[in-house]
Order: sequence, then structure tokens, then C-alpha cells
Amino acid sequence: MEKRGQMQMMETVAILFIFFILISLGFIFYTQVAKQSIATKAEEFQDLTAIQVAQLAGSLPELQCSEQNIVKENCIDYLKAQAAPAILAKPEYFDVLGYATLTLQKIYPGTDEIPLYSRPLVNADNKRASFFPVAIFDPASSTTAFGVLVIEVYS
Amino acid sequence: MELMGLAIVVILLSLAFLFVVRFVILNEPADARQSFQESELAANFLNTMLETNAPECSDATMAALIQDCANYYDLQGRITCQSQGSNLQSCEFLKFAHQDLFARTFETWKVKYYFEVYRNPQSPSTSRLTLLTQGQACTGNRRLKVQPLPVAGSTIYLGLHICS
Repeated sequence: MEKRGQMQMMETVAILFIFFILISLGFIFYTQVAKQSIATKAEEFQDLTAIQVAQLAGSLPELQCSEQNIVKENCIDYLKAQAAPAILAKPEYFDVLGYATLTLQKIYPGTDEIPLYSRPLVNADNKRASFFPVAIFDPASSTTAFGVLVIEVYS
Repeated sequence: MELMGLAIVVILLSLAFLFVVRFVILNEPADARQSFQESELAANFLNTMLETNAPECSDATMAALIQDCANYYDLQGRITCQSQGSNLQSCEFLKFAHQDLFARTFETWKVKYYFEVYRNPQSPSTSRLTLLTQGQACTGNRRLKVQPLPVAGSTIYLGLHICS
């Protein structure tokens, strides 16, 4: 009778042991998945920041093309872009653009590169670049070149 | 009795595991950047490209060159461009210009694309006329931007496919 009781006790302990192992495995699995989910969310947030910076940069009067006060969409004024690095280096633009690097690349005709804004985050864990084709209008010659706005966002 | 309990626990854990796999792991994250970039990229690329002036062709816009190529396709265009010391008609020039433009953009960014300029058939019995192509046709999903361009007597279409 005593032996049977001991056996049942052992069985209960074994079942509880297995149960807790399963619970622990489930918990470990869940934390791993949650960690991965948080990383994905952080990446998504960074992507949205890049899109936001791109839209803000494209709508800055300091860069965009206009003729008789009519703004031209998706166009950067070449002369304004040349003056932009000194203007965008002012502290107030950090509130708008944050930790990012904006570079205007002229692709055709000829090649040119104008660093518009540069506030890289020192010791950044992650840096993602986005490319947005833009027209570069030169008011001096009234010609349009094909350009790319390169936006690098840090986190 | 205890075995029944264990079986229930295992079943519950399996259900929880299946739930996590279905809703967390297999749930594709919405790549905001990718979808935004793909749709914006194609539209911005075509709009910008059409506005671009070619100094080799007396500053004619790419849109004007494409229209000239389509209007005088038998002659390979009537606008003459001077490129690398030789005279090229608009159709020939566009091939080189597009090749260069795509190589410096999509190919550098490792984005798969397919670009075509075509005229729809006049009647269902005739096939559509492709004036220019660049890149390789997408095999899977794609985002497409089509830009119509008027030419003499009809309309041509510029299609830019961004392969996903």
C-alpha cells in the first residue's frame, strides 16, 4: 500500500516536471517571437521616418522649384540646392529632418552630387537608404536634369 | 487520469504553438517602405524622365524624343542627336540614353524592372507595336505605372514595371 502511494507520488512529480518544462519551453518560444516582432516594428518605424523625411524634403521651399509662385511637384531647384547645405545646417532644420543624410545626385546629363543635409547619428545601429527620382531644374539654363534624392535615416 | 491531464496540456500547447505560428511568424510584416518606394519610384521615374532635357539633341525633352521616335518610327526618328562623336536618330539615341539611365538607377539599387514603350494595336487582329524595351520582364508580382503620351493620330504608352 505504501509502495503504491510512493509510485503515485513519483508519477505526479514526473507529470508536474514535464508540465513545467513544457511551460518553460512555451515561454522561451514566446519571448523569442516577441523579440522578433519588436525588431520588425522598429524597422517599420524607421521606414516610415525615411518616407516622412523624403516628403518633408520634397516640400521644403528651400529646395523645391517654383515659377511665378506656382510650386512644381517632384522638382528641386538646382540653384537652391547649391545654397541648401549652408541653410539646412541651421539647428532649426534638425527638428524637421532629424538624424538623416540627404544627398542630391544628378544622374543625367552629366553627374554631380550635392550633400544637402548631413546629421548622421554617431554609433548608429542601423542606417537605411531610400532613393527618390526627382527633376533638377536649372533656372539659369531653363533645362531639367534627371536626379535622385538619396535619403539615409539612422537609428 | 494523469495521462489524460498531460494529453490535455500537450493539446493546449500545440494549439498555442499553431496560433503563434499562424498569426506571428506567417504574418508578413507590412513593408511600408517597399510598397511606398515601389509605387513612388515608378511614377517619379517616368515623370522625371519625360521632363529631362537631352543636351545631345539640342535640349529636346525625353518626351519629345519618344514622340518623334513613335511618329517617324520607320526612319528611326527625325531628330538627330550627337552622341560620342556620331549622329544618332531619336530612336537609337533613346536606347542608349535609357540603358545608361536605368544602369545608374535601378541596376545600381538592385531593383528589378521592365520598361517598355508601345503603341496599342489599331484592330484586334494586329499585334501591338513595341518601340523600346529595357530590362527583363517580371516573372512574379509587379507594380506597374503606365504613362500615356500623345503622338500623331494615336497614343503611345510608357510602362514601367517594378518586379517584387
